[in-house]
Amino acid sequence: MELIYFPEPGDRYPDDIRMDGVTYHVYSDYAALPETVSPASVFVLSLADRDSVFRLLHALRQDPRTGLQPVFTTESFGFPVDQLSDGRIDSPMEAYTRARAIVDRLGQLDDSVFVPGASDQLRILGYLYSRPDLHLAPQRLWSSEGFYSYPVLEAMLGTPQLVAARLLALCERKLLGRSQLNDRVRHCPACDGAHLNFVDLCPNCRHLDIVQQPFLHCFTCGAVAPEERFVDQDGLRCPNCRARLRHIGTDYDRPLENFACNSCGHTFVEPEVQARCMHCSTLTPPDRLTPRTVCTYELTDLGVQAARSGTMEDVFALLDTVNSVSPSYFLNLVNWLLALARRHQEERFTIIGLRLQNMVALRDRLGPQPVLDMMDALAARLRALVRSTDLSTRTGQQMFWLLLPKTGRPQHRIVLDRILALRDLLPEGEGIDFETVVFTAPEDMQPDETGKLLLARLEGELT
Amino acid sequence: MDVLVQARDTMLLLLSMPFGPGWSALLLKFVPFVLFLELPVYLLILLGALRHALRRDFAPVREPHHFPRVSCLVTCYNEGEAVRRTITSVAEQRYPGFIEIIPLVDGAIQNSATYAAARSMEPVVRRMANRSLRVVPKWQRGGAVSSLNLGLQLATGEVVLALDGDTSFDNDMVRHMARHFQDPAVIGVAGNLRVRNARVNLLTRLQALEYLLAINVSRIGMGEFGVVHVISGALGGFRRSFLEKMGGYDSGTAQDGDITLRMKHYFGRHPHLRLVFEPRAIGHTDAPETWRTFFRQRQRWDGDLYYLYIRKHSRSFLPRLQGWKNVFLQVWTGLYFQMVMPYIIIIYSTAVFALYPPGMVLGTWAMVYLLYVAINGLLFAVHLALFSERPHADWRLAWLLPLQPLFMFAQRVNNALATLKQMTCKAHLDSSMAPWWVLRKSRF
Repeated sequence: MELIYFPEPGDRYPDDIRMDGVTYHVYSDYAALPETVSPASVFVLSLADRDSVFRLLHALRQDPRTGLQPVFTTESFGFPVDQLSDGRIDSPMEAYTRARAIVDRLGQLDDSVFVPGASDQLRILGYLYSRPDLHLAPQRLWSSEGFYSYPVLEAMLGTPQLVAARLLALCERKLLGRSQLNDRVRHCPACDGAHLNFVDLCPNCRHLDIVQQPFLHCFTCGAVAPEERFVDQDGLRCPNCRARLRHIGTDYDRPLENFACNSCGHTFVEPEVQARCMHCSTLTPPDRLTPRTVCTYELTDLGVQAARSGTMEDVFALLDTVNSVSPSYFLNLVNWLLALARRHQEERFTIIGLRLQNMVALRDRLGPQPVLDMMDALAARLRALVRSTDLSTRTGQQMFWLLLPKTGRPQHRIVLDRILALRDLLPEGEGIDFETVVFTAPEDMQPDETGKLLLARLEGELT
Repeated sequence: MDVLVQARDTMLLLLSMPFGPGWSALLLKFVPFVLFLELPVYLLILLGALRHALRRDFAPVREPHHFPRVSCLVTCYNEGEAVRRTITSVAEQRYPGFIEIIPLVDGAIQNSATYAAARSMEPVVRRMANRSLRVVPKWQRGGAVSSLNLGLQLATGEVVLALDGDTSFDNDMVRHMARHFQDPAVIGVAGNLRVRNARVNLLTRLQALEYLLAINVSRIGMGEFGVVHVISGALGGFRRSFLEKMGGYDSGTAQDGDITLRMKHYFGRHPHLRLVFEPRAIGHTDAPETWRTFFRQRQRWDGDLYYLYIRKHSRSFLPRLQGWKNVFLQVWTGLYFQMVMPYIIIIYSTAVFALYPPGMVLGTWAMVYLLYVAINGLLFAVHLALFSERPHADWRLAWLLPLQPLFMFAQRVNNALATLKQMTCKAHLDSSMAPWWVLRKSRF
């Protein structure tokens, strides 16, 4: 284990941190770090200035070389600085003991997580894997664009948008699970900001300047006028016939609860409620806002596997280079095509499902690199046979889907045969084994089946 | 014919030589306690009413600087849709302070229509500033006392108004009620009631006139001397802290008379405390529309009086509880007027018929009748001139003034029967104010 110490400028290297079996380094700042940093490093930030600590923590987390290693501070700085570190320590000894568990687990990760250009998703998984008690909880922050942030991830990846995209992708691949639903936030459909101001507006000119103008109706003479004209010092008196109005329902009533617009003079009963985005000032009706859930995430078993193997995720990610789209987008397209096919008989399309059977066994037997090569070859061949209008996606790690629009029976056989031929190209016995399932519309369509149900049915046929 | 001639002669004798020989002797024979004990009361009422009007119009006005939070406990039973009108009239009060409306639906299972009607007002009230509506269903019927005590638990206002579900209110009612609580000595305010359905038939018109004279003018006059007989259950205001100190309402029927009497019991020890009658806080209530229901209602009221004064709170006649003034007036206007005088009237009427020639009796009666018409006319004039906020509507009842003494006589007979019934059969245990299984447990 290696202890990297950032002391206050001008401070001496403290003597009491010398311990057997521990190497020490002292650096003045982040820029002074060497080209390679051991994954078994522990950082101690003995600085008093909050801003310097925040900058340094941010830089350490952002750098793949140092992003996952335990970092301790000698003081507590509150939110969000403390969220980036692994806590406050009183002595280097404490840093050493507390870092032990994290460093041990970091040692189980693949080295590729620590090199520049490492995959964002693997870094997230690695961070969570090395801190098994940590739940990735959203932190409420009024100043953040979406009201909630994951400070560590934002430091690691850079932007909240990137964090959201990566978390979504990890969840779709079931590498992360949602352990708790924390909140639901509505976002502006134009700029995705969550800082919304709900205002009631004139439905005619959309102006803000509206006033409530209750009207009264005098039973004695039938006069209807704004309430303020009825008020005198003792109560209500009709401005027209001077009758005293004492009892609602007997002397007078309210013909309507009215609003008037001071801008255009329009009178109306119900004002229009709109959400104004405080970032881009777009007005949106409340029902058109994008609701988004905010969750606490935890590592799934699959995620643990991926984090430990490191390359496992990359193997399958190779398939994502084949005209790949996200599963939810893929599903939307399938739904749309199903609806089209129901409406127009001549509309046809094909879905081919392909499940890799023996990847885990192969990796265990041959090691990660040969498997990677095999996958590369498979992906290259798949790329060669799909056309630019075909789309693919992956649901789950080993389930690969191909969508071939405007391709029905019997043309789908051509593609299918080529895919089946791939099996022969791979080395016998030692190669990748896969199963396929085929769906063609309109022949295989079932009434009322949605894209989600369809894919589930096809996946079921494979087992 | 002879009888009528004799009657005319007697009348002429009485009219032509006032204070002459035989005049007073004749009058004394026929109307001893009845008129002579009643006349000073009317005089007192008139004086009080005049004083009230003078004070109202000429005393410096104290503008309220504080509008206390008001909790309105609306006791509901089977009013149905009418409860919406009550809630609307409370919510629409012209009062800048907060008004918390708590309708308590007794027996909300069998009175589900009333409950639904009250609930339907929730979205309406929610849009109003400084108003809240909390409808409380009491699934099991428990009576008015349990409703009010429950409401008292839920109320948060400094002032609590006990209102009836079938009574609606003028839009300045809360303002006039709450105003009095600026004075820390005021612990209760009685509101003024009018008959809402006056134009239905003769009976309701007669009751409307009676409410104007007996309830309005009389109570203004008596109230001026610090005497409030009863804070009506249909419209009464209380200081919540005091009600809570008293332990809320007590079980049994006639909860409004009971709470008033129990409040007065503090007067002996705390002579500065006051009850007030506010004629300008007006509620409109439905009067019985048939003679049968009318007599039943009055029997209940009069019987309840006996139940309260004699059976339940006989000790309230001790001056150290109420103070001398209240005891004196309670004996005079409560005990004597309400419970003894009806018997005197009936006994005298039968006696004179037996002892004197019918013509003479009729003549004297006619005289007495005219005297009553005159007194009522005077009270009516005072009401119209000084107090009526709806003089046009009230003026239309003037033609009933000649019928009023007969109406009163019928009531006195009914009253005597009620007191008799109460004395003999504990009629208060059979009341619509609470179910029998609740009343049965009452200690009186």
